Amino acid sequence: MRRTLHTAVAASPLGLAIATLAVALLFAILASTRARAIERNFAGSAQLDYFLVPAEPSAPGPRTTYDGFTAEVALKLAVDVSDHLSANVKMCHGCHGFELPMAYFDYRVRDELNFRIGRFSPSFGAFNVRHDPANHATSSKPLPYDMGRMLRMNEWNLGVIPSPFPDNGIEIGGTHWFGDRAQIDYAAYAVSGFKADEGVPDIEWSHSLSTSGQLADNNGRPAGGARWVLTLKLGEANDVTGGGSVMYGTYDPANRVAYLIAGVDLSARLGRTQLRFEYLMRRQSFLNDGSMMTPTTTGWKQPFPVGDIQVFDKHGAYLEIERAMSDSLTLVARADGLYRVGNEPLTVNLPTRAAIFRYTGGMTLAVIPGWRVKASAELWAFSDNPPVHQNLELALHLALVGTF
Amino acid sequence: MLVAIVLAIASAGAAGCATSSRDGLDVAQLPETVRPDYALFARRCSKCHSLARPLGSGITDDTVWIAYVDKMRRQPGSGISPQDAAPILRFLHYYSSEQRRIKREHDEANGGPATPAFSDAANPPVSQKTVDR
Repeated sequence: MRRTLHTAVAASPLGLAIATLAVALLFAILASTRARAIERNFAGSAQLDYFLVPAEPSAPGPRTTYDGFTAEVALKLAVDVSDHLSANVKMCHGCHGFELPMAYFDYRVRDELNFRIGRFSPSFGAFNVRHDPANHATSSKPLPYDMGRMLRMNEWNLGVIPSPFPDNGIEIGGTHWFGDRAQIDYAAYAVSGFKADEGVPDIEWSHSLSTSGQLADNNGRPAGGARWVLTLKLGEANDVTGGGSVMYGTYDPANRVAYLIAGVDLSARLGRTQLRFEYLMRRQSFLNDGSMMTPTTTGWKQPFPVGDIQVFDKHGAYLEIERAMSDSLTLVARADGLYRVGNEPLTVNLPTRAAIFRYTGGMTLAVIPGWRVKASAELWAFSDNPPVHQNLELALHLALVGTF
Repeated sequence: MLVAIVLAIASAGAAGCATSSRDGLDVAQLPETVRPDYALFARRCSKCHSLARPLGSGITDDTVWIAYVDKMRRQPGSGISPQDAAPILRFLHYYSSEQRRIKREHDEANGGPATPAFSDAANPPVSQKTVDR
């Protein structure tokens, strides 16, 4: 049963706390605006991408790919109210229409202690800080973070975790340097978490979007997570960064089924070359409430008694090498993949063991200051129930991206 | 249609190469004293975003740069140590001064309003200011 927005807010202590704090901070900003000049910075980015998929001959059903033109435009306003308090608001327009990925306040006691309150993408993984199209060299995101530019999108229902993943909540974090060589970062947070309607066996990303009208938590129980990062400088031009992330929460209204997402990342900067590796996995439980049954089938691909709870695992990883050949030209090569194992409804066009491998070669070329052309070719290989690379497909991206 | 788009953008790219379009600055055009600071700025800031992002931001106020470099330094895995902040800010002060000078000369050449308020006397070097930690 879907609750109304009003009852959901009333039942969510976290939602009420955020609303109260947001109003209080808004009044604080307005008051200080009258009292003194504050620093404002306005920035943005835009990308127009053409995704050419010549054919999907091996797809088992109708094509479920966002090919053709997609445009992403983002505008961000950052306001430093004082040395310790700042506000950030970011609006973007992309495949989901207008979205509000940032609307938060940072209160920094010191470098080692910062409170972030509002709507933000909680700290998870290394790619998240580069998710803006202007900050990564390919048009597509690594498969573990994909949220719409993958082939067979509907069958896979996202990668491991979409990036960005804006949510409402609070995050406490900080950074500390040991001399000039080692930096540690840490963050822990409580947010609404992923959502799905009762009886739905996977998270429904659309419920987390600003445009869904369902931004209140669907179960009143926050999801929690944390991230740790260690960076070591190895000389003037080299450094290595390693990190770990974890997130846990329930996603159904009755708090009966849950997800655990974990990841590790390692990146190295060696002169003009960047190496990046990440591995993520999501273990998720789901319930057979009987709603999938038909008169002739149980509605599932594997035995699944009504009332039981099962789990599926989704693994994702990518390895990326990026090399700046000159001040204008950057080359990038990436191998990434997804692997899913676990029961599924008969209506989903994906076997209970399935994998995707993707091999990408690309480049970016600065054409005018602040604007670059991105071009990349992707070789996709789908593997259904052990045979690997049984279906190959080619896809091409061509994009113009700029910052201002 | 796609071929036309590819050709158009490739032509633009070729034109861009011919006019030395780049994300960063031409090191050869920088004073020798500025080059080490620029090199550090380029190494640290390009880890997460293109150099066009700060260079094209339009910021010319050292106070704003201090706040922003501090904010970037606190980003997870930034690799920007407290010791890195001073040389990065020195370069940004030089770059901002150049931007103001170019704008002033452009305005004067076009008969527009000169901008005496953009004098370096009103914007002392970063090293004379307090950097908040």
